[in-house]
Amino acid sequence: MDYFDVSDGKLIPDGREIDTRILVISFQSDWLYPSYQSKEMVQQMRMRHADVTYCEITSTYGHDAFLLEVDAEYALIKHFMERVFRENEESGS
Amino acid sequence: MIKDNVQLDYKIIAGIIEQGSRVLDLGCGNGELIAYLSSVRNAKVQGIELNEDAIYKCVEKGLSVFHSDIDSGLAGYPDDNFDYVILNQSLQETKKVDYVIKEALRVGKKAIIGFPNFAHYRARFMLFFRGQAPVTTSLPYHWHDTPNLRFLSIKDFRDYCKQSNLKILDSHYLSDTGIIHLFPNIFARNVIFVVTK
Repeated sequence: MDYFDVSDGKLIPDGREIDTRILVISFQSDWLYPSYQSKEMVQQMRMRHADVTYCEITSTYGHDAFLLEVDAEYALIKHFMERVFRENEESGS
Repeated sequence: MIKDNVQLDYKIIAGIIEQGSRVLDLGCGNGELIAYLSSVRNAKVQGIELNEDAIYKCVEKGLSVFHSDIDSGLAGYPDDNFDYVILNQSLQETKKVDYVIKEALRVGKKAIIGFPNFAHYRARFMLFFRGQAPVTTSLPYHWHDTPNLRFLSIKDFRDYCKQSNLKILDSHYLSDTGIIHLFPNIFARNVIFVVTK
């Protein structure tokens, strides 16, 4: 996974505006994917004027947290997706 | 959505910003203010908030928010990314005040700063006659449970702006009953300044 690299325009080509809303979730005790790295991603996306929401969920389950903190994840993703669907419907796309 | 029983400071801030402004609220809490600004001024809003439960409430309202403290939350935003950066009732809880105001005026063209006036006459009376740290409507906490780190008056903030070469573009003084104009440093419970570099 450490070789997974979307930097330098691989994910978002240079010169393109991002019109996709992005939700980034991290878990406090996950040392494999630490929150500071998620924050770095958010900062990079900010530099490109992306609309990003970020939340660090409190958890003591380490890297397994994403399998166990289901309620918090579910609430964030559900409300985020509801907004995206609502906006898509309003814009007719 | 909030309609009639809107707080006076929210209405004043909505009156300050232009239609469709890009707005960042530092310490946005449950997102009531930015949801209101999005609704009545069609503002493009974002928030920064430290409290996790408040972040869930913001996302529930469909708001874009960043989970962070105010002191480090502005890193990564390009210069002039926002028309307004709001610090409403959060400046007094900020550790690095000078840095946060400078960063707010880097990422935003103007800053809207609202805070409780520590020199309000009730606070003065309580300190002078009762010899106790003030507990008032706008400063509702006791010394042992207050989140406030800074205790400033309107005059203090004006002096700060002068020393830091910040221009005060507008000021609104709020009492218990509404907006006031006379002797604000004595009678204003809260104040909202609009500042720029």
